Amino acid sequence: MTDAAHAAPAEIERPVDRSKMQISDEVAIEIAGMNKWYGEFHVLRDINLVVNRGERIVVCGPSGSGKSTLIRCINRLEEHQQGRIVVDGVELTHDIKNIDKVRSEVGMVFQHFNLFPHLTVLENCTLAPIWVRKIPKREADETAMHFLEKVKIPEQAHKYPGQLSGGQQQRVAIARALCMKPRIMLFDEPTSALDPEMIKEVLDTMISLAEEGMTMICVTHEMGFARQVANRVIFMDQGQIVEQNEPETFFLDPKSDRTKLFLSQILGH
Amino acid sequence: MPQDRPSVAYVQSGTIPPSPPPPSAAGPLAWLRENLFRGPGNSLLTVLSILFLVWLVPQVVQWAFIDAVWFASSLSECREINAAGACWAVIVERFDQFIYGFYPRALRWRVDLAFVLLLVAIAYALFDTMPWRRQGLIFAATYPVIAYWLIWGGSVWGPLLVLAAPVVGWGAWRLLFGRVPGLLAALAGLLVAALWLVYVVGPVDRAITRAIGDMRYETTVQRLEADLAVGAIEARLADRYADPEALADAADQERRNVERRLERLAGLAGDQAEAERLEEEAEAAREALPDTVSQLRDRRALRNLETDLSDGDLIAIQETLDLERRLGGVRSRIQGTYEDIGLFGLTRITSRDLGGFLLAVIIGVAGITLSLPIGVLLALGRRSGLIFIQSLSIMFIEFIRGVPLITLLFVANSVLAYFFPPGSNLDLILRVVIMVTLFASAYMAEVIRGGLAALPSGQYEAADSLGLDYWKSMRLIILPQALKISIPNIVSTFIGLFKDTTLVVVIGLLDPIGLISTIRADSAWNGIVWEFYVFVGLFFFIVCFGMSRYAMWLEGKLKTDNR
Repeated sequence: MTDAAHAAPAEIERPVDRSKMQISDEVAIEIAGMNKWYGEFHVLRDINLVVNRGERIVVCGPSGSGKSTLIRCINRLEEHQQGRIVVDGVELTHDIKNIDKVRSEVGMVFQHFNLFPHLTVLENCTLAPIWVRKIPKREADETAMHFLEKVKIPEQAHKYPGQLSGGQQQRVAIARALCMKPRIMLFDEPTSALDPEMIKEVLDTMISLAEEGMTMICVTHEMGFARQVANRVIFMDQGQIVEQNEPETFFLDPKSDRTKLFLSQILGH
Repeated sequence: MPQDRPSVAYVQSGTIPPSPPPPSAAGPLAWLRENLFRGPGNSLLTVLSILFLVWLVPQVVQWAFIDAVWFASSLSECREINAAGACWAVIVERFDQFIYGFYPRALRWRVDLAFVLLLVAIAYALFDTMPWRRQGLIFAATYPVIAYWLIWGGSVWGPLLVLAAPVVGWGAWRLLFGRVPGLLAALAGLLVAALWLVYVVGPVDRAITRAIGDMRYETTVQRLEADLAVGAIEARLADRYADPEALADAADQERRNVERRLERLAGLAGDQAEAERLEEEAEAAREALPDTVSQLRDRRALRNLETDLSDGDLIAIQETLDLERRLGGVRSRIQGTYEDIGLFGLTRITSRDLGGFLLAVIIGVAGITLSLPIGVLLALGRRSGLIFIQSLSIMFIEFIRGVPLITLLFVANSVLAYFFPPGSNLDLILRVVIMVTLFASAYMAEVIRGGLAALPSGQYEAADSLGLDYWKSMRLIILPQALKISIPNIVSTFIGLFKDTTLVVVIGLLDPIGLISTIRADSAWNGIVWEFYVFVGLFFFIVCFGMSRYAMWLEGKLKTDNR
């Protein structure tokens, strides 16, 4: 166990400013008794999870464990068949208005960026604010430039996504989500498709977001990030939440055998 | 260091500066070798191709230009001047007919104006760097109605009412939006617009013309009667004809014309009384018919039905039909009289007078501009989760794709009228445009569906995750990309459609191909073959090649990766 702790990647060297990382009592997301099937396959089994505002949760687990499906259920890219999901006080049902409302309050970052290749970086960032939030174009441009500066690529604003590196694209994707001023951010393996050199720049962006007190749920295998930023780590396997704990305890003293096996596999070499 | 174990350690001490490529990799020589003489087989083909061109090109040039005859009044005269060359004289002489068909010479400026406006509209639709772009696009959107009015003529009320149709449809959509699913609201809007076009435009147009006609009746009669006074017409026409004989001829013709108009105006009241009487009689005859017969909406179809009706029934049917036919005749005469005095607009031209490239361009442009949006809607419908809309789209697409265009054109010619309310006598060319459009939009739908399917699902998810609703994500994210992917196939469909306009010859419309046989029937030009087809082929080639080049340019312009 201590071996695993020592072997944890130490990519993130900069000190994390925890002054604004405060967890309030307000509930941001509540998932109760949620089940989901893909046809016959029971992909999510009795998920119960309450996320308070300001929490930074890392979800990990082997592939096929349902972790991506779980966070995609939170903004209803996937539909759940049983149980309740309440986001920001709005329950996700078939009501399209509720779904669009939740989606505009929840930012999502994908493994493959999913930027719109036919629009410039700036247009990618301003499209949803203009068309969903009905913000005047000038104001949307200013907001977009603000967030592009924050993710440190303002000079790329007028290029097309196809002209950027993977790390830059992912930072644009984060800026695009932030331009909607979301109250919750979901990250679906944001660094898995990146070259090692570019992982750090994306993680840095995510850390500064956490430092500002954003409520975040990240599906990731970046255990260094989890240790430094997360206040809770959730381990999923076979569609269930197997174990969750504070990162220190989770990494140093995992309780279930499956967690131990998983940790030894990803940290062991 | 032992020779058999070289060291693996290596450090590059500086950066190698970039240098120009050797002549064998760049420059004209490299190009020649790369493209013309790459190996013996390739070189042989190059030599053979050059020999073929050397053999072919001089002959074509000799025939088409050097030996060609440009001015003559018949084929035999052509052959006398130079029998070896092309007889372009026929094209020169019949050029106007190839362009306008049988459009009245004095009104051809309307076609010319419509064509110039078409170029403007196309420029705005195709290029986004034009000045006044917003106004230009609005103009391009209203152009079809303007062009229809210019070419066919008629009152201005018709086009104005047609232009109101999208507004009415939009109002219906606005009313339903948010209360029913978006696609349903859109379909309802389209339906309301269609009903407006079919049931409101014609009657309202005729009513206004009638009202104006009633108002002008007295003054028109007075004016015409004043014309009949001795010398009145001559005085009116005097400054247009210098030659006294020509003036007398023209005045004679004009006088006959005035007399005819007066006669019609005098007969108007009688016509109206007769129409009322015939209407009552036809109504009575219709009620006397056996139930099974009167239920059939169009009793004309009965002629072809094998039924066990009694002779009395058959006679009654025949009488009803006669009455209705006479009623129709009187009504159209009344309408014609009213148009004579109450027309606020352009002289009406019938579709029979249209032909040649004018006809090909009308059908082609209308089909192309309509088939793209309809195809988009069908493609979205086919991929929609709403089972009703999905099956409707699939049925439509599969049916239309499974039927030859010629069949659809015959349907347009004979059967389509049955689907419209009686009395709305839809123009033949309009019916052909509808059929060609439906035909092309079925193909278009599949082409665009291919583009939609080629987009990674991440694009749909990213649009969803930003809170864009279905229509916004389609319009802003999905369709721009799907259409871009589909450009080559869309343009292929366009080109196919444009060339297919020549098929209208099978239902008796005189498109350029149809005109060829008409002109060849003239004994002066009987025997010419090549010149016609070269000329018509050249026209189609220029248009289709233009479309193809535009598509290539657009593809390059929309290419956003690695630019």
